[in-house]
Amino acid sequence: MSFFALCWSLLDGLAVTLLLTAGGSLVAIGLAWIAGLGRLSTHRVVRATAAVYVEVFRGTSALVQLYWFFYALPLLGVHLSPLVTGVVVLGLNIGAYGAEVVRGAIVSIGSDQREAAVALNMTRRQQLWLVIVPQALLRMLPPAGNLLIELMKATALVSLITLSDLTFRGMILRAETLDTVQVFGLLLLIYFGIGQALIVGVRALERRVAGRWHMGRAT
Amino acid sequence: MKSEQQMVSMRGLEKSYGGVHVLQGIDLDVAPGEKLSVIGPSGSGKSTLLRILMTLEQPTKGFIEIEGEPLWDMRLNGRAIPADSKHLRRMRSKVGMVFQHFNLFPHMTVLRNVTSAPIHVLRISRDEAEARAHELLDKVGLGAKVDAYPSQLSGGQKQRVAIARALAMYPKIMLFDEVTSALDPELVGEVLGVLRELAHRTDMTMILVTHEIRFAREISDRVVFIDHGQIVEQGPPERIFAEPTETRTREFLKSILEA
Ligand SMILES: Nc1ncnc2c1ncn2[C@@H]1O[C@H](COP(=O)(O)OP(=O)(O)OP(=O)(O)O)[C@@H](O)[C@H]1O
Ligand SMILES: [Mg+2]
Repeated sequence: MSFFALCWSLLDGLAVTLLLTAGGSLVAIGLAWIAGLGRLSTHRVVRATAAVYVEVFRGTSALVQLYWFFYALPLLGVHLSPLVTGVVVLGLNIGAYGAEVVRGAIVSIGSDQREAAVALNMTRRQQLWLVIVPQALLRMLPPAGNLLIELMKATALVSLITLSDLTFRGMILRAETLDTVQVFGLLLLIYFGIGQALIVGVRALERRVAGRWHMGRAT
Repeated sequence: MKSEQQMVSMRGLEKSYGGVHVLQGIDLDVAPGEKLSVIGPSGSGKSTLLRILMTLEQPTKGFIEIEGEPLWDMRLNGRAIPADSKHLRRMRSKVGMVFQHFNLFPHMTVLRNVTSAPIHVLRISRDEAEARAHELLDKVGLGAKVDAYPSQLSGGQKQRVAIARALAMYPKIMLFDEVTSALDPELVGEVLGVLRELAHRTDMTMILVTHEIRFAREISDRVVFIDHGQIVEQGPPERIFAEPTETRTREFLKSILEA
């Protein structure tokens, strides 16, 4: 099989992988904000709920989470398609790490900024959204970029719950062609390529934000 | 009640961190429109005093009134209970503060630094807030810098923006905590110039913590010398600086004049 033909047959899988990456990222970003801010809430129940979510999903295997949502949840009466399951589990898993990124960036903003906001009589909410969060955003970007890549790599797990993503297609292709070295080599290359594209994207975003404030690279 | 004529009134104010007594019973009244300078050695509690007035810090004991109203307590059915956030915000609206290290918002332009609180806190229209910000920035000599970001300004310029930002909230009392001591010597003059204008041209109550003795002498109605969290001596600047009665005051003045 020619190199071109190999790539072609992997394309469908690539689409699934990208879809999972995009969907998972959206869920992860949403959850990261909710849980990250939740951990800083003044309400004890909100704080505790966020903490439990973060610890559970950081403290257990992503693969087992995937199996649980795929095999156990239907037994409890909740039926999700494999794609939705993949998006939800990836989002929940990476979102838990993301929550720590959000929280860490917010508490890293110096108290002098909060004090200036208090002196201007801003409410707690205004202090957070007008002063702290915009600055924290810049500090979140580099670790968020790393998590994005983690998420992209973790999409390969869904090949174990019947989704024909890049890795799944690769397995089939290897079985058909018996060209293990080339097929898996190509897989590595494609994942690496997606990762590089994500890095470039996040860096560009970082430069744009920092450049606007004339602040140099996130400090 | 006599205290109602005062802008600020403190009685037996104490603050300790752990076992360290930073303020040990401060009694101090500040009249409306008064320009008060607070001097004292490093660590004597000057910043802490201002920070309690700005509600950035809670006193351990004693009480403060602003315009006759308790700052850290409120009255409910005739009983004093700890202030809630609503009370604190209402009291805070009377006070503004300028910090030693400016504390400008680095992600906002100069104009946005000055307009964001008026727009979101005072809820005045953007047009009005911007018009007023331009006016204030012109006054502090930065009319041409409205679109710059803080990182593009010198220390003296940053501090003048910080002053304009505080003024934009129409405080009755302005607190200045060593606002020139983080500046290169050649930039101190421009900030003192702005403060001098404020002192002479407005009836705002001003409390300044400063090491600039000559400046304090020129603009203050009264000077308070604090050491170890206590008021050692106070009076008109001519007297405090020329003929202090307390040895500690004399020694302190000698030490900073030599420096
Ligand atoms: N958050 C805090 N925790 C513990 N100790 C504190 C805290 N804030 C201030 N202090 C201590 O309180 C004392 C008084 O501090 P303060 O900043 O009020 O002094 P100051 O008169 O403003 O001094 P300086 O001229 O150096 O600014 C110092 O000994 C300081 O170490
Ligand atoms: Mg100080």
